[in-house]
Amino acid sequence: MTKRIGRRRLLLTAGTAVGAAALVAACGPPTPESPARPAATQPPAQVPAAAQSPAAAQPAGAPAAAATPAAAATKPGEQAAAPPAGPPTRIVDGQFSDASILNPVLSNDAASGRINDLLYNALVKVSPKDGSPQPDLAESWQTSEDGLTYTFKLRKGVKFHDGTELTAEDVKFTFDTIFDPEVNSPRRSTLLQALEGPGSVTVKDPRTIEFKLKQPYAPFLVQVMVRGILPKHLLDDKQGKEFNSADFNTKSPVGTGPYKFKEWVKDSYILLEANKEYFKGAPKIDQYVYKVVKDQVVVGAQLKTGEMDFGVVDPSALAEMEKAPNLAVSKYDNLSFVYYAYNLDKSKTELFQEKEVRQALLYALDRKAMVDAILFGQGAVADSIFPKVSWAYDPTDNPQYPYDPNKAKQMLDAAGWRVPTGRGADGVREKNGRKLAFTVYTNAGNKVREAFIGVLQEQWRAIGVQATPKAEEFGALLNRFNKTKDYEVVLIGFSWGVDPDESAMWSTNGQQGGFNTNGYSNPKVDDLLDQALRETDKDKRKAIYKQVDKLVLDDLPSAILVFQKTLLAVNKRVKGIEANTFNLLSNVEGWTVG
Amino acid sequence: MRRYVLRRVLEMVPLVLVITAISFALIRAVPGGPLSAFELDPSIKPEDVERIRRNLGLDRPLYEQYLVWLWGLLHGDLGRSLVTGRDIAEMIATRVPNTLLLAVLALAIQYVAAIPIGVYAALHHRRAFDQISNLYAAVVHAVPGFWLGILLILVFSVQFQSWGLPWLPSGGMFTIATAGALDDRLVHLILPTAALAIPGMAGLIRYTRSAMLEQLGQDYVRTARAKGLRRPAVTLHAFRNSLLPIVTLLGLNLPLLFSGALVVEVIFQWPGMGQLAYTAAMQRDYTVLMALVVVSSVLVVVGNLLADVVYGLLDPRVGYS
Repeated sequence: MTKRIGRRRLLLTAGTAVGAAALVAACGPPTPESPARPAATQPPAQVPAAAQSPAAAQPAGAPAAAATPAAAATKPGEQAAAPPAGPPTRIVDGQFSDASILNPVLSNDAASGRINDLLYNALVKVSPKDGSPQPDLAESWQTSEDGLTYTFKLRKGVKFHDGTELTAEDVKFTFDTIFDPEVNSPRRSTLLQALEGPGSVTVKDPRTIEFKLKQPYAPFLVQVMVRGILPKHLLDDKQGKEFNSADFNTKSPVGTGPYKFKEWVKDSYILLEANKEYFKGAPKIDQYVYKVVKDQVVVGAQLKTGEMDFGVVDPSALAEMEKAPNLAVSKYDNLSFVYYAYNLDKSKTELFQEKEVRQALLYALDRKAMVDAILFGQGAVADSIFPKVSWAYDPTDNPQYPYDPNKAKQMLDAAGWRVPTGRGADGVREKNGRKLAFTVYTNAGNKVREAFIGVLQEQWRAIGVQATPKAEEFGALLNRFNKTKDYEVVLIGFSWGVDPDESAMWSTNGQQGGFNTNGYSNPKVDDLLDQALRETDKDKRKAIYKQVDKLVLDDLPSAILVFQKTLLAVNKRVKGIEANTFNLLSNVEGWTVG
Repeated sequence: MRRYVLRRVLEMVPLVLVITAISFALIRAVPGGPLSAFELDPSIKPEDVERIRRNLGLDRPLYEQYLVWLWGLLHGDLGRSLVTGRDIAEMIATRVPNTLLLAVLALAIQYVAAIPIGVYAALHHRRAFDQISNLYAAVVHAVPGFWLGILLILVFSVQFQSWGLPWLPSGGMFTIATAGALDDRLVHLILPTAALAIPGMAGLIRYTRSAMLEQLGQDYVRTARAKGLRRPAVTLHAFRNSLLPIVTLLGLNLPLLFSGALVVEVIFQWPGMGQLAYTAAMQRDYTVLMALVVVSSVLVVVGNLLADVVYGLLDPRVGYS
């Protein structure tokens, strides 16, 4: 009955619709930093995985001098002399966008997060296996009975790249900086959600630091404690506004991480050198090169020529990359998905007030065919609001919406949306004189999303629903989606953090500046989401999310279409990379190149 | 002449001011902003976005922001990037040499190669060479820049390597983590220069050819021929006169030398002005965009002035008053 549609046909029929959109798209490349872009399949910026580190500002008196210590410590000459001689080994990491600011207190984009992960360490890092918290700068921590006090014991003998030893004062300094309203840290409010203010962070002794929470906050470790620690001695005199533009942030960042900053040619590459004093052991590869290649085809070319050792490739290039004799491609689930939101605000549109309509539209979509055709099979039909790799993911008993156009038609008929008969009828369903016709927006330049809205139009037309696909420039779409909210349906995607808290999207509070831009409100869901945030027992928390999952999937304020995968092409000369979405760099010091 | 130049220079000031005011309004009218990336991140709260907006002064009335910016500009301060906090004058200063290197080289090759071809084509009007150069110009003109760049990489980097031939690097200015020896830099220049010069030549060939053809059809050429002047001498006369429009073109090209070639820079990872502008536009880095507007509008105005002056030097019929 539900005949599968071949990839070619699906795209062909959709092709006409998207043709115009694609033209527009060709003119506007996707915003590099937007977490919503599919290429953002690397650890999402917000994730603790972006456990970035801070950057320090230098002493005001000696900017030039401060800029050199990292470099001076590793003159190529010296380096070649110490280990058995030979040219330095090097790994080249290919990325679509350049980093913007190498200070983990200020940065938020995935690109900066990548470098910051190499330059800095946080107290806690997330496990590459399941995203659970693991010791990093903290060798251990204790939680009080009431779940309100966290006491971290720091590792002994950890040194910043300039040789200064890290102490609890540096940790306190880093958090104090985030609290400073003049500092442009995007995480101040998140921190204030958990802590009262600077007074909540107390240095007990040089290796012990205590955090007092306002109330139990489950994501504390993986959300708050995974940010890199800044060297106080280099930034102490750069407070307030000066912190935002300190040379430290772009010219001389100093952390404790496995690699130290050497050189940054903006829009070309960042060169890092092994930190021989790294507390987990000196990295085996002497130089880490972060290479900025903004064109997808050129990324493929450089992977093949070996000018790049590893990089994320587009599903459309998968077959070609797998054929290349020097490359191995890892495919792994990530935390991102593609979804569309129904606008539930009555003042904007009244089409989606009935649950049956929302559900019927999803039944009409052959999402398996979309995965095959648009994602080249590299993804899965979404069956939960939690990404597949999340520990909260558990699709059992979830309401499911398998492809069933007949059921969709029956549901719409039953809800009173009938196909008009008679002369001049255009086959579009109507109810009380209103047509089931609307526009589906997405951002221009994102080929995957443009393909999706084309297919949506086609498959909805088959059940008598008229959807007009429209691709808009990214800024314009964002404005429409977040601010004016003048839309019926918007298709977009994004990446979640390691923690399964999705309040931003489903809670009523999320309507104010969060991601609940379509006006969803269910008091029961709100309650459960709040409970889950305060529940520090993982199993109990998971049980709460199970209920949320079922409720939201039944209400269906937004339809999550598919989960996506990351395709990481790695040169076979590189050994030791554990491909995963949580923390790709967790064992970077152990990587080798042959 | 001196008075003419002085007047033109003085006229530039209000012109550039008007350009900045209009650009400022246009840039701000575009949806999105430097904080869009934050707004799109579910982990960042709206309070933080608002606070950072205030810190950056973006909550002030537009005219006030413009005046603050203008005040800085009049004091020689281009400000700092809203996204990275870097000093903009320094950002531009590090890019200009890279862009100039690539652009000057490509332009030189274009002129050196295209002018003789254009002249030769005109002299052999409607013969095989002319037809072929016409075809070349038409085809290359129609090829999008990014496509040509990618094609060059796929052939001269990927294919050449897979055939075991010496292959060219597919991007960057020099081998990363080296000092960048001269030969290494030259090798890295080949593909991006070609990607710029090949399509650039197309227009120039056509310009030269039609300017030359026009001169060859003039009465003075016929007269010169009729009184027995030999062909090479006549050609030289015609060529000198046909240089006029080509010089104008060079003047108009001046801003391009600095503004960089966006597409080629992106494809070949060339850290020049084009990429700076591209990133700033994508991130809506207002202060950087405005600085680029100032720099490029000054260059356009100066380029036009230079072309006009050189025109007068080359052509005595052009007078200044």
